[in-house]
Amino acid sequence: MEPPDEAADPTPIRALLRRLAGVHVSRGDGLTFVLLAAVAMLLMAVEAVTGVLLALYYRPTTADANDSVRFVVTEVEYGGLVRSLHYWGAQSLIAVLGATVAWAALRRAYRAPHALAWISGVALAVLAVAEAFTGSLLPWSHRSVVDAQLSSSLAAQLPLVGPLLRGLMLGGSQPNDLSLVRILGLHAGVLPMLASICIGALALHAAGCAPRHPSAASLSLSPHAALRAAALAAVVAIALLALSSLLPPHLGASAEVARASAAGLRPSWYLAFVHQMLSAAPPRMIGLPSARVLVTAVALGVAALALFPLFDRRASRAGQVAVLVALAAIVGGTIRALLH
Amino acid sequence: MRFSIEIGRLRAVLVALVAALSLAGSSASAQETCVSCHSTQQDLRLRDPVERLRGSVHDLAMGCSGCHGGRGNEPTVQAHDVSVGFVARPDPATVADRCGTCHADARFIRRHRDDLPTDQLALFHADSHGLALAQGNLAAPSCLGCHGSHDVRAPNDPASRVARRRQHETCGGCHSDPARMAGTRLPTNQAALWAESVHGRAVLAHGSSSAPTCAGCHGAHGEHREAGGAEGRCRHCHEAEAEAFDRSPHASAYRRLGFSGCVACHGSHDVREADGALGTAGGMGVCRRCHGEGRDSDGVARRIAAEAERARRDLGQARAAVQAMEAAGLRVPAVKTLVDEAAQADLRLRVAMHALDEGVAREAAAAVSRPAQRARELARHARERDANGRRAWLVALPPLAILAALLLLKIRQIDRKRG
Amino acid sequence: MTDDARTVPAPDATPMARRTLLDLAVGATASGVGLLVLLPAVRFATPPAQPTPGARGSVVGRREEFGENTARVVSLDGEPVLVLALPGGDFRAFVARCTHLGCVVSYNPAREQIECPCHGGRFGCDGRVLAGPPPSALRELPVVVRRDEVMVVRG
Repeated sequence: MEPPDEAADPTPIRALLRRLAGVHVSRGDGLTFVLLAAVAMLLMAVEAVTGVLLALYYRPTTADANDSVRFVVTEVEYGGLVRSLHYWGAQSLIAVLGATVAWAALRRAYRAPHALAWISGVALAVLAVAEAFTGSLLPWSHRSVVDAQLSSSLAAQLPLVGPLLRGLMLGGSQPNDLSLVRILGLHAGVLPMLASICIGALALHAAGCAPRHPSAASLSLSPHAALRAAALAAVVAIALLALSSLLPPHLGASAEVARASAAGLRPSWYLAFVHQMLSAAPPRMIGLPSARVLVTAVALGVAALALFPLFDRRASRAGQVAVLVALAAIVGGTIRALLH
Repeated sequence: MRFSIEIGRLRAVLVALVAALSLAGSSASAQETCVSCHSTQQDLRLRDPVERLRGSVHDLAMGCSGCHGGRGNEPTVQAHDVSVGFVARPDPATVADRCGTCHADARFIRRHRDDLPTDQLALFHADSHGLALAQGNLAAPSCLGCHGSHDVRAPNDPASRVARRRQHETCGGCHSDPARMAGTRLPTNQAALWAESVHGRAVLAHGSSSAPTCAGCHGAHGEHREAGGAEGRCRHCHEAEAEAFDRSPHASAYRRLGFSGCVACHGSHDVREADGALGTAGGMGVCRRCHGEGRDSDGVARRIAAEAERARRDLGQARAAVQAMEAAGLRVPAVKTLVDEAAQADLRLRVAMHALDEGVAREAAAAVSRPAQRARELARHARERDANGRRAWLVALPPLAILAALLLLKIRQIDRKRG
Repeated sequence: MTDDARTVPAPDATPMARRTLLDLAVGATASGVGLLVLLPAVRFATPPAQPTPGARGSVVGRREEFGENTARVVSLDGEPVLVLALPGGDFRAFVARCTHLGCVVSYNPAREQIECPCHGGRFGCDGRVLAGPPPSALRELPVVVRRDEVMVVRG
């Protein structure tokens, strides 16, 4: 490949493509990450577009929220599909980001100089779960109210910051109108902003670390890897569209805070392992309420998972085993809770 | 100026305080001295009455001698003077009269409360409990048997023995005891049956303040004995049903046969929800007692039951359809209105069933079925429209598939070129 | 194209032509799919033809029940509302309280005016004051006619 000749390119896009043609990724891991990143980017784009569309009709008050979502599904053209896409996109995004983190752990892709990419990736996966969870609260169905109450009580168990967090999230001690505005702010403002910081860090990292010298075992990012990514994205789009068309998400009836009871509700699959732990635990552990212990442990565990490369600078086997065991525990807990 | 106002206010407060203290002192001095000994007795049997009296409706202020006689102001053991009427345990046969000295005295009672009846004593004497006592059956309860002795509480106090949630236990304490009921021909399962009945569950599980407890039908002191028997008591709340029944062909037949209108079909203590278990095909048992197979009326009874069952099924299906519609995130206000209408009509159908007339039942059932079926249809239509709307997007799949195929071609092409 | 021809020298004509065709096909399909996403998104964003969500509409009758140039006063949430069927077939609705002292106004089809019986206030069919003591126009409420049902929207 001849070195890029910027002066000869009149259009900025062509210039970028030429520069990318000089960037190479390995045929194995490099291509896998490009493909996973492409699918994640497609899903994020779907979430962003459908999210903005849904926000056009959403009314964040406890009295109107459920009705406004129903209005979208019933009255607005393509409303059912847009809501369905937003839902399935979010579920798929969690799965894809989770798979990416697992793959990175398997390949020890957190080794220097990739620590920043690992931290950003784990953070993105956690943010995707947080987005899905806050999103499930927005329709203010019976289930949303129970989840809001439960999750804020759990957050309040965290040492030091707990009660503050609960107050910040709910805007009161019980779910109310303010809670919905705050949850919407988290869902459509704070969390996407944090996610874009992570994406920016990943992009910077990729730009800084990608090898520029072709070898027999590498592919140029453009057009070789990019075309493969585009083809995979098209296939994923087909699957997502089919899923959204055929399986509309459930929407519970509008809820009254005072009457919300958790009886008969199942937790969302991505938080099932936390729920499983909480219900299996004895009332007290190490002399403290078990909820407090477990919530603190989960928070610390996730933070440790994200920051793990900082503690394990030599990328030892033991460190990898620890990470894989943690991930296997989450996956195993999820499967067990779903089968339960 | 301001200072003098403050002084004036202070003086007023002081005067009020002194007045209050002197009043409290005077009432304390007037109080009987029984408590001062009995509250410090080692023997629980002697101390307990004081503790129970404290916090009861009567409280300590009522004193002891009103019921126990003796000298209330005598601070020695001389207070227990039989010659001035002291009695440690008042005779059960005369307890009611003792209570009556105050409670049957309208002028006295009105001085304290304007919402207490004063006819309990007269009612009690004419009631079966009172009559049994008068005949010397000491197993029959006096006032104390139900209300307790020292710890009498207002009936609306949840801790009272005659509170709505506890009445069946208090009455059942004797009436569920086969040994106590041995001399009578009364059954001993009423309290248990009631607790399982629609009324009992309404009171015990849902805290209903209107569903009848024992006294709701039987009266507390015998006040409902003359009110038209069991049917009269049912009518008290289920007026519309009773009126429909009066117009039915059964009303005269039951009278002739000596059946009690409501109890013959619904039972008494074990009244159940009037759904599948009674009026509809599953519950033909009740109707079948008279309208058995092979009799002329068998067909009519079947058809009436079938009408009600169909209406109930239509309403159930409409509700399920609406639920499915709402679970899919849809919202059609008209459907909800129709289901509400059908539910209202169902209430009317439940009343109309008491006329036990085929035409009436059919009409009432149709009033349920019509809006219910319409609601179901609308809900189904909304779901279909929703599903079609979502499926319409499957047209985007072929272009996407073509795009994927073209991209694969392109990949092959540049790979080949690269070698 | 001229750009391509200058920077990438073509070895022979056939692969070049094939590549261009494939590139065109990929580009065209991708744009088609893009449009397929864009058009429904625009349709979604366009509010459906019915009262704004949040406002509550009340059906006050069917179109054919209103004769031309007639009006009726209906009660919405206890407030009297004058629904006016204009000669052209249009509908308008006003809060039927005179802005002077709150008397309920009525329509006079002969003069095509809304009139207050109390102090002689008169309003035009657009709710504006024509004569009398009322200080301001009648408050108008939006009317939506959907599937021949006349619906008054309260904010």
